[in-house]
Amino acid sequence: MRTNTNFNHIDIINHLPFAIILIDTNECIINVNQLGDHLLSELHPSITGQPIHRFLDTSYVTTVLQSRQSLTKVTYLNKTNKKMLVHYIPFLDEQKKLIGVLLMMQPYDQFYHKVITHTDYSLYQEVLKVLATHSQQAIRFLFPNQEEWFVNDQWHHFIHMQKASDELCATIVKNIDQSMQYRREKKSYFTVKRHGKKAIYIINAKPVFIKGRLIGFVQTMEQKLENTQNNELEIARQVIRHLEKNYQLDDMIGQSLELNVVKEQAKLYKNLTEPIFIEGEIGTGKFMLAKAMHSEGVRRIYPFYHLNVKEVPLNSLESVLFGHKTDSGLLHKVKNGTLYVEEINFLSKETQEKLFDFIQGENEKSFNIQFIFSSATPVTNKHLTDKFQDLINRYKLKIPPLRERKSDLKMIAFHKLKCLNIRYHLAIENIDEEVMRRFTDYDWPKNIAELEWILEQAVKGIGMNVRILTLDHFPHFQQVNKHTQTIFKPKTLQQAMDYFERNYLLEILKKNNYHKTKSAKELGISIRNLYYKMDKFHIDRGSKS
Amino acid sequence: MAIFQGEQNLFEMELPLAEDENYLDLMEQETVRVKAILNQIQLIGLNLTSLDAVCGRGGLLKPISGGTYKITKAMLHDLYKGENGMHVSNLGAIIAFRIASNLNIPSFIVDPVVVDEMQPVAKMTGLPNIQRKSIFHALNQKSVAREIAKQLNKSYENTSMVVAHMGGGVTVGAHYLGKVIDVNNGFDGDGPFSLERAGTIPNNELIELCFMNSFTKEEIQNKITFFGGLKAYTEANKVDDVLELLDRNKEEVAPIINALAYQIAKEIGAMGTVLMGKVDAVVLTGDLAKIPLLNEKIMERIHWIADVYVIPGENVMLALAKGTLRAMKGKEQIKNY
Repeated sequence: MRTNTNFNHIDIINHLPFAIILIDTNECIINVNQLGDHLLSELHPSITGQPIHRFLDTSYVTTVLQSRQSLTKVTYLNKTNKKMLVHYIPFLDEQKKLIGVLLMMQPYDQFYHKVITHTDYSLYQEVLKVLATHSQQAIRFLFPNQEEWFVNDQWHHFIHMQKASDELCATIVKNIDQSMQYRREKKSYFTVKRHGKKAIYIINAKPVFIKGRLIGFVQTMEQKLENTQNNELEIARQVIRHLEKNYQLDDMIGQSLELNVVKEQAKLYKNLTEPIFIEGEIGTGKFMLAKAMHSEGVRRIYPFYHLNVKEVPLNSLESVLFGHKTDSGLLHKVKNGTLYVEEINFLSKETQEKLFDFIQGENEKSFNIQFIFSSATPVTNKHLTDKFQDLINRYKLKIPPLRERKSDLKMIAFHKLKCLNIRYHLAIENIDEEVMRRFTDYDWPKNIAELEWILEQAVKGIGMNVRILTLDHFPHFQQVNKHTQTIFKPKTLQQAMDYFERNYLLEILKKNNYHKTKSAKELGISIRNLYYKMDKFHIDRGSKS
Repeated sequence: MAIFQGEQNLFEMELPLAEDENYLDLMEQETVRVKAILNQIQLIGLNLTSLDAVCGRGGLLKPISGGTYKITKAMLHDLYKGENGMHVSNLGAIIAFRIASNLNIPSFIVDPVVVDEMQPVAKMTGLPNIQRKSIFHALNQKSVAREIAKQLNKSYENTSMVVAHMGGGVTVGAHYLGKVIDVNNGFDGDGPFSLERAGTIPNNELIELCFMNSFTKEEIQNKITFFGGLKAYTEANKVDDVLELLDRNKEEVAPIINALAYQIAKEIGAMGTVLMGKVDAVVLTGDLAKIPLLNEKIMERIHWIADVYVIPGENVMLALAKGTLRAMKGKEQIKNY
């Protein structure tokens, strides 16, 4: 069945969804269809015979006449500024002679709408937006003229909420400039100090190319507190190690030759089976060194025991060590581990003898215990047998007193300060020079323990806003002369209470010959509480002071 | 053959030889071709006397600098004799001269393949008695370079760019202030492979090949000039074939296109160093630039050098017309061979 198909060509052209414009070789309009007439008549009353450049912002008719090749371009209409998608097609006669150009024009919005409807374009756009918005990094996209096209919330926050400094802004611009110059990804760094913390901004510009042309840059910015964070983390770790008494060699602060020699020796000795002897005054860190050698050596997975000879009644020492009836004794518990024996000057000759035999015999065969002996006072023939002295003196570590390594004083003080900052939520940055001078003049008879105690007393109860410790915070240092002992004058009520508490504890401990159970009973507190208080006030467990 | 009115391409048509004419000697083709052109002009109803000038493609002449040259007796002599080699393009100037002299109008050639503006340092090789020659698609390279300079709002004489002509042969030129100071000699097998040329082959392997199977000199030359490159891998003769193959058998063809892109990108990078990194634009042109995959793969590697412009195909006719117009209008000095 055939229907009437007598279509009029002009009708067909008029019904096309494009404006059709025919142009001659003089670049003048010969004819337009209905839609073309509609679009162009807005711009100029007469259309036919008019040069095309009257209507189009940029015309590519010349190019097409030169090359006889089709082109597609986006162009604006004059006056109305309507954006158009224009196809230019060379128009040939029957002999293939070029007689003009055919323009097919379509409003850009229409075209764009089709693209959005029929392609994945909007999907990509949406996904990109989501990615940029939900990124942790600050992100923006700029055109090559550095005009911003897209800025995510994080970027906005960095620049506007945090009021980025001029220097930071300059770095951001320079970063783009460099990336543009080299057409490659560029990283820039910008460091600021804020509230005593170091923050590093890592700024990155990456050029974006489409079909080989630079169309813009993706710039990202990240703030890193990396260094400070690492530092703080390390100090926090040290504080925890301190609380757990789980020391490492790094916890022995200082760079003096004397200390480094000890540390190096300790590294060499840590895996020995022969006994080691640590010599050092009160508060120099003998326990710390012993524990550190254990923690860093091969025995770290086995137990570590601390035995203070002075704390154990003389007659029960042997049974504590070697066992008694049902109790298998400390040595069995320590097997393969480390036994730290403090104050060996107080060992009885009999126990020395028995220990000597054990170390030379059974220990080597099956127990494999690392013995670390220590004494705060020099060992002499009066206390120890020659045999025992020979045994322990083979591997000897001598921790120098603080007065012999004053170059480390500042470092230790600052390290302690950082720990105290964390513990008491403070922000102390410095110690006044005068204080440091007096510290240096002072002899520190109780060594690091005393320094720590004094610093802790100084920072207790001071304000969050204090940045520098001055002589005012060290009342007992105000009138100190060389070689004189500290005369502690408490200032605040808390200090006075602490002062009294410490002295009272010391008094009771002294009275009971440092027997902790007895002392705790007398004080009416638990033994745990007593240990806690002794640590708090830096009372050496074997100290006589 | 094309007829231009000003810069407008009024008519253009390929006039291939008939089958029985293919056997004619290069110089014997002259008469046949001239006749075909004149016939066609009469066929479209154009009055021959309305012609102002005739322009032909320059052939293998002595090395000369770029520009528009008047066709002279000396030039014709070299082309007839094939002083610098025999090539179809030698006929261009000869035909142009024949048509023009009958009409008593001037005839020209523009930027022949032998344009030599190479700096001396570029000519040296590792063998003192062998020098690199400047033989390349000067006409199209210079024409697109001028076009891009215009787009950049600069004059050709004031820009530096790398132009890669990718066609039957691939030549990549370093254009510096209006001169091509270095270019690979694609004609003689220097540089990337191409549609049908083998490009640079490792010396030893090439020497081995020459003495194998007792090839004659011509056989070897033929092999590496007309049966190498994409043709050797895919048996595609034309760009359209390559595009069709890519459509049909992408897995097999894409790696070859990728290798070609790699070699061309390398050459573009090399020219970037010739220009000391100061490059205003990189242009990809020639028939192979119609292969989007090839363009993409090249751009991936070189977009960091400069913005890349793609002008696919080769508008030889427009280039000749423009060169002639520049000369006729006195915008450019007419050069003598």
